[in-house]
Amino acid sequence: MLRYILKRILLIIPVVIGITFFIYIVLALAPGDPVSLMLGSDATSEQLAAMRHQLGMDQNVIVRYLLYMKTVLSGDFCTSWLNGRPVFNEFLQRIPHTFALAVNSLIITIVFGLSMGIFAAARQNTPVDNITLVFALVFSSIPTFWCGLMFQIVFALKLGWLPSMGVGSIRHMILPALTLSMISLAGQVRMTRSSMLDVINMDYIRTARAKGASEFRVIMRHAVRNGLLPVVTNLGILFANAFGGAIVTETVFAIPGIGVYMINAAKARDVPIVMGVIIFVAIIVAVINLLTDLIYAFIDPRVKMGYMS
Amino acid sequence: MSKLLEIKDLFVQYNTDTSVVHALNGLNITLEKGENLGLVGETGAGKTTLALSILKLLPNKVGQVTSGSIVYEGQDLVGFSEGEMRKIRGERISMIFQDPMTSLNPTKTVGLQVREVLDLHFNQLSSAEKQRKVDALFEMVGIPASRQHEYPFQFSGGMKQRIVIAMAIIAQPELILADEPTTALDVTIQAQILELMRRLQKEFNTAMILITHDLGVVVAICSKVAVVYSGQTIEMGTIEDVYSRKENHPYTEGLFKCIPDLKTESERLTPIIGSMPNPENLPSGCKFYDRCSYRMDLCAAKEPEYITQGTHSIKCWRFAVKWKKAEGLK
Amino acid sequence: MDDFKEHATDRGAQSQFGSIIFRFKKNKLAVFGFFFLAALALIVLTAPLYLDYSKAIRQNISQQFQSPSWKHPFGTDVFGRDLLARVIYGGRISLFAGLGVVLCDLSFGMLLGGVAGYFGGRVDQIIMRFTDIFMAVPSILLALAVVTALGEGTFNLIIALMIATVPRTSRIVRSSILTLRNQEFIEAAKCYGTSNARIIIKHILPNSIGPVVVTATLSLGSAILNIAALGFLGVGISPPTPEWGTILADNRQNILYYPYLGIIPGLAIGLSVMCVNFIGDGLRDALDPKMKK
Repeated sequence: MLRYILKRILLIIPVVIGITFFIYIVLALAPGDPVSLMLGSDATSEQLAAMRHQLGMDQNVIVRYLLYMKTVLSGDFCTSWLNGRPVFNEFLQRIPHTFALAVNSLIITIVFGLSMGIFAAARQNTPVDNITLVFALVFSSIPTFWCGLMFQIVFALKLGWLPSMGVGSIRHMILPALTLSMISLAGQVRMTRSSMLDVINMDYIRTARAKGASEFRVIMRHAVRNGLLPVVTNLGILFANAFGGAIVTETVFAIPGIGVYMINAAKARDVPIVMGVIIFVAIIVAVINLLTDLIYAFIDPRVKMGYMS
Repeated sequence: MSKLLEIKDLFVQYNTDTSVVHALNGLNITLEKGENLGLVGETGAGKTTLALSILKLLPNKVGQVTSGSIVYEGQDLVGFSEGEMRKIRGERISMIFQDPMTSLNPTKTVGLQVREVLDLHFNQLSSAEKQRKVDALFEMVGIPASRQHEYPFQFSGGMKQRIVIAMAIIAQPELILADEPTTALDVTIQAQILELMRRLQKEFNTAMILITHDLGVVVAICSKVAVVYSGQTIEMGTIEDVYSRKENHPYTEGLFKCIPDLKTESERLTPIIGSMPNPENLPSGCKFYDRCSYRMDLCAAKEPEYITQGTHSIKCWRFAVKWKKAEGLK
Repeated sequence: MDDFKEHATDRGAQSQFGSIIFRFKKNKLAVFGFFFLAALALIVLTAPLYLDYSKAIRQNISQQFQSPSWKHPFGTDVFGRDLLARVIYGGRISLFAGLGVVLCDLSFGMLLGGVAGYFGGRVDQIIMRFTDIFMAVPSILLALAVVTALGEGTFNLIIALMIATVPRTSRIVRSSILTLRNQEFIEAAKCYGTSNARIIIKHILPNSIGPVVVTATLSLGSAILNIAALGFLGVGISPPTPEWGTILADNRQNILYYPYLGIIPGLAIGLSVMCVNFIGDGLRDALDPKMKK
């Protein structure tokens, strides 16, 4: 078991290297000149050259990449070209907000998505089931940012029930987390329902009924345990999506997370920030994926036994 | 001896989006306490449908009993509510399904799955008593009790079927429905499982309906046999009645002829030409008409009478005529 | 041997296609989605014929914030521009850029996935490592990074989104082909001497097209949403080009007082994606012979 974990951790490294290399090359070879952006259009050519030398931009791309990685490995993620603040510190300050948003929306997605999915599956082909399906399709079509805007306007600005932006309390988290969970929730309901239906039609469910178990017991004790296995596998992807979606949601609700940070950096072509964020997020996502796989291995006896023996 | 189970003129159909499948068309079965009935028929004849109908396990809105009765110990199960059926399932009538590979829950230990029957029907017992019973059952079916904490995937097909059998008998039911319990297993394991079932049946005096398509399996442990064709009982009698091959329904005759004989040499096998009629579109009159070498005009026109002579019943105009004559001569 | 010939019927690709269409038509939502989307696409495609582009970008501050009326059926925005014109021309970007993303996605996805699945071995390993790398970050982040590099513009947006979606599509194609390769009917076909080319054309392609088509349809929905989201963030499309997301961004401060400014573009996005989802869902059910209904 331990060997498996170590192997997976080691695998993260080439992946992170791969993605950073690709992004770095793309950013470096892109048209446009960030140096002139930084110094303004009235900078002299000597000033430009000096800045370039200072940033090490007069060297070969590959060399620059290696130098960058060397710096990163020593813990220094460089400073932003925009505001001069070290990327690492900014990141540490901001990541908790984004993380909290992603996790909260995941909780909503899972709790409601699973229960509605199980409910719909247990009532297959009844009007309740059909309505649930249609709602799921409709809700997965609503743009997240628009949903956020509407929630903000209706519940915060018009009705005044909840704060419209920022962070600070649980109340601040409600609208953003709800917004972010919308599309995932819709997808989760369908996925859970589909998975549960697969299980409900299995022979061993019929065996349970033949033993005299009530329908409730059959669903809760037999179907759910098997039907939720694929859901666990999906957790990693759900998290990655939540993280991505958080970026958009943060702009709507003015949450000081890495989303806003990244977007401004993208518009200004600020390479250190973009690179730093990519590296961090890649590592976080990889770790979450690993944890998901471990949880799955624990839950499915077939996999668990495979590792114990 | 009072009848344990009497099924009369049972009609069951499946309603799909596109058509109606007439699975059972007037099925008749009688069974005494402790008796072992073999139910023989080819795939699609309605054998599994019958078993599921008895326990009311037909697919929810699709399967439907349209007429007939299933009288168990004097009560008609057709009218039973779901709650009443749950008291019967597993406790008074239990079922063994065909494919052991998929009949067990992969995420629960086998011990827990067998124990669940006790949790459902004998919950008043203490945990220790239930555990003792489970241990005893495992030993009885030939599996070390220490293995009850393992998962289904850790057992072979034959052992899985033994676990399923343990689940079926732990509540000491009066009737076991065994749906092709050995079809998915190797021939050598088949013999072991059949022997186990025979032994347990004797010990607990349980009645059994053994569903199979194999005439040889029936002879091994059954005392009575019923042949099902196109959702109807076309012949029923003791082993002696049917297997002596003196008087049989033409279909049964054909079945016996299919079995290659060890003693004689022949170049070709003798199949029964044609196939069972489409259950979505059944002919009126005798369902075996197209394939019968004894057919008469009467057979196509009218549904044959199900006539009984002693312990032997046949649904065929030939015998309706012949036996009535014999009756008349007496 | 001769008896078998009369029993075997040739259920060629023709009748299979027909039954797929039949099942699709039975799904009311899917049919509605299809026609609604077709109508939308038509309106948007033919726009230059009946609607002058200048209407979408001409500013007229004195006319700002007019509620929907005969003159301006969708009202006017913060700069006095006719919202109907902007939404229609915005639709051209959203729908056709979305289509562009999907087509590129499909082409590269099928190429990579097909090569990986069919050849296996080292080629497969290399391609899989590549997809792993690109799937290591959420797709919006990846798209953002690429847009950072390439700068603004619709074309760059399409490239960015394509890079973000090709890895997943190629995996789906690959797994589809792998499952098929190992199925027994392929072995059976090989056993009675079918050539490799014939196997690919007659067995693998028809069976793998299904999941790919469904994925493509559903990713059109994601593409439209992503384009709108990136537009809203101000990344990718530059003013004054109208796009459903940018329209919402422009008028963000004023939606509270002029709700139509928020509802109408949002509805446009939502309805188009909904139609796409209905169609994709209908296709998925139509292609699955053992329907779960």
